[in-house]
Amino acid sequence: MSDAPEMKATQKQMADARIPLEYRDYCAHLLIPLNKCRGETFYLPWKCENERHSYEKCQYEDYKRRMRVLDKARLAEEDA
Amino acid sequence: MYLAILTLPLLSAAVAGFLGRKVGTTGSHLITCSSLVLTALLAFVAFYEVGLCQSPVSIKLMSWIDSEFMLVSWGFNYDSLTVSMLLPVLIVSALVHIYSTSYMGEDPHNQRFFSYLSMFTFFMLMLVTGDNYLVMFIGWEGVGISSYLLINFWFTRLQANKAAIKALVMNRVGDWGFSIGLWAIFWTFGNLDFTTVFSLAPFMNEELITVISICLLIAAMGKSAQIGLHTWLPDAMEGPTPVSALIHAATMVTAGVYLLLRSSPILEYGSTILIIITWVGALTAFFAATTGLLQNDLKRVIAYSTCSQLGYMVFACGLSNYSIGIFHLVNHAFFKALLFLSAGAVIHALNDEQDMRKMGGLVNLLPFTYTMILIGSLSLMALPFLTGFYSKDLILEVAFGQYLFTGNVAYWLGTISAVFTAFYSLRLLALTFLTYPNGPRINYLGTHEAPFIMAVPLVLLAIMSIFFGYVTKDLFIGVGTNFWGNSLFVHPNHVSLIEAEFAIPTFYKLLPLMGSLFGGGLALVLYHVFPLFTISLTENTLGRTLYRFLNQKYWFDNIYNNLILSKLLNFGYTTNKTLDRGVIELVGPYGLVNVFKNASTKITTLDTGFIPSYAMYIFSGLIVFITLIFYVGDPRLFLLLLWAVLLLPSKKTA
Repeated sequence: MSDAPEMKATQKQMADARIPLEYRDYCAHLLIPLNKCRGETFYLPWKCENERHSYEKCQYEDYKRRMRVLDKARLAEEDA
Repeated sequence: MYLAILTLPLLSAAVAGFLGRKVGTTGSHLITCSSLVLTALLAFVAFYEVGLCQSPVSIKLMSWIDSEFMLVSWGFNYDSLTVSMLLPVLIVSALVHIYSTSYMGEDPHNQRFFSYLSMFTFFMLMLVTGDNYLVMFIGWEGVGISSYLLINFWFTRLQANKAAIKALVMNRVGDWGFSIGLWAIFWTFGNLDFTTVFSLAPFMNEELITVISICLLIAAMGKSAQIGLHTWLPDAMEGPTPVSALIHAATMVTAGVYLLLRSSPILEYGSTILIIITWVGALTAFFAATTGLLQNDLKRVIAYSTCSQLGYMVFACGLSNYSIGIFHLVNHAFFKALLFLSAGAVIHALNDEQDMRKMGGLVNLLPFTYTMILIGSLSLMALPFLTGFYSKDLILEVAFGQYLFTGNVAYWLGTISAVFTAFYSLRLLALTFLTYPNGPRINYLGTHEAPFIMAVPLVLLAIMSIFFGYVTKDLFIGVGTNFWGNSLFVHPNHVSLIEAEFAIPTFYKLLPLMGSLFGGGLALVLYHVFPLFTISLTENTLGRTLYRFLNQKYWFDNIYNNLILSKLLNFGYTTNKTLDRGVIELVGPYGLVNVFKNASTKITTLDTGFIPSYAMYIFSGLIVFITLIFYVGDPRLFLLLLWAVLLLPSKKTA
């Protein structure tokens, strides 16, 4: 995929951290500490705010990137 | 401990049921309530160990069916999904037990009632803990039977009999789907264990997956009262109110949703079935919400609300957002149990009056009950930041976030249903508590608040209805949460939570809330401020037709009775008369016995006591014997002929 970011978390790290399959994406390296923090604080919503914010920001950036890719693909399809 | 969670309710049911005369009313109260409270506490421990500490537990008790071809064991599995189900089941069950000690205190059959309640809890636990489809099916049937017994608890009431039979028969349609699904699963996978089936599901033909999933969906539709198989749920309100709270709001009706959740590794590989599930759920949510708008029975309004909320849960499953489905299931269990138990307090206070048109003005007489119903209603309406808000709102967002036709349909039907939900909730409050007293004076004279023992469960459920959603939202539905482990499976292509979070325009996010506020406000205006205007709406043909249509529940019962049931009854009568009592009696065991009896009678007529006759028999026999030896090739033919002659029907001489 064009301008795809670097996949920072390895398969092993994600498996060890029991990251759900559907979330083993470009932001998984931020999900590992978030879930670790969540587990340590019983998933209370007012804890792990920094980790959650970083993770959600990453997901947001990735979402925008995917939309850019989709737009490019659509344009290319229209041109063709 | 994990087996104690299962056995305590079973033992308490057995003691209250079989030793009811020995332990007495108070004894049965103490035994069942203490067992259930203890079990609920153990469920918290299980939730901590299994869910929060990520330590699933698997127990293999013993082998059940070992035919070399089929291996099924009595196995129980505690994973995150199971312990998440244990919480609402056991908390609500324990609270309903406590509540019932007062509510049912005057009933002469307390032991039987508490035995049934505990038995239901046991079967529900078996359903959610079973590690294969067959154990789950035992629990499934068990809760069905318990439901029948509890709806029919006051068995001298004709309406209760009818409602119980209706519940059983409608559920049987779902059970039929489940049993065919079991065979389909076994035929496809060669096993019924969840672990085996789910491991093999990705490699199976999609058509087979779809067939299995349709069977499971039919089962879920029956148990979870989805459109078409829903008619039993409103009628089940004939049972005692604590039963409605426990079985027909919080727990048993969620068994169908649980089946879908548990089967997520199968459903995810059938794209067609996910679309069907979404449609069924969305249509149910809409249909039930519209029907609830104009019901006049207090409990039936809440029953249709349950039906509608179950629709939300089902379409969350269809959208592959199982975690949100179970989150709404748990949240709904708390606020709906609160609503039912509060409704019970109103009914209790008004001499068992359930017609909202004969209520009104209770806010000054029952302020505590009013507060409880208000909390439950606001949570049901998904008002920020109550429990219901965190799940219901997100279900609508993920529906929109799919950007597919089905998702859009679900979003719009769900949003309109949310408006209607607010409308009927506030209509209920207005008619029951706010408007002028409309009931007979005698009902108001004895009005009293719920006693302490009934109030405690209400307060606890109210606390859950306010705070549970917020406290557990990151646990259940936090983006990327690893709480679920592998108990729920979402195909990576079906994730829509990120889109729901970031991609939906604010307008569409706020629309359900705005709609709810509008719907609720409109109900207050129509039923509290301008009640005469509301009545005048039915004075024209269109208004009257619409009122009848919704009040008569889309004519579902009439259609079923006139078009299906009457024909089925005729068919049953015919088969009974011509097949069961006709052909089968002629050639079956009864017929065979008759043939021998007639033959014996015929043979005895030969015994006349007249010597020349006997000489004639001997002479004839000799002739036949000689003929047999000389002319018939195979002597067995002769014996056959002889028997045929003897067995010929003949007129009885005696």
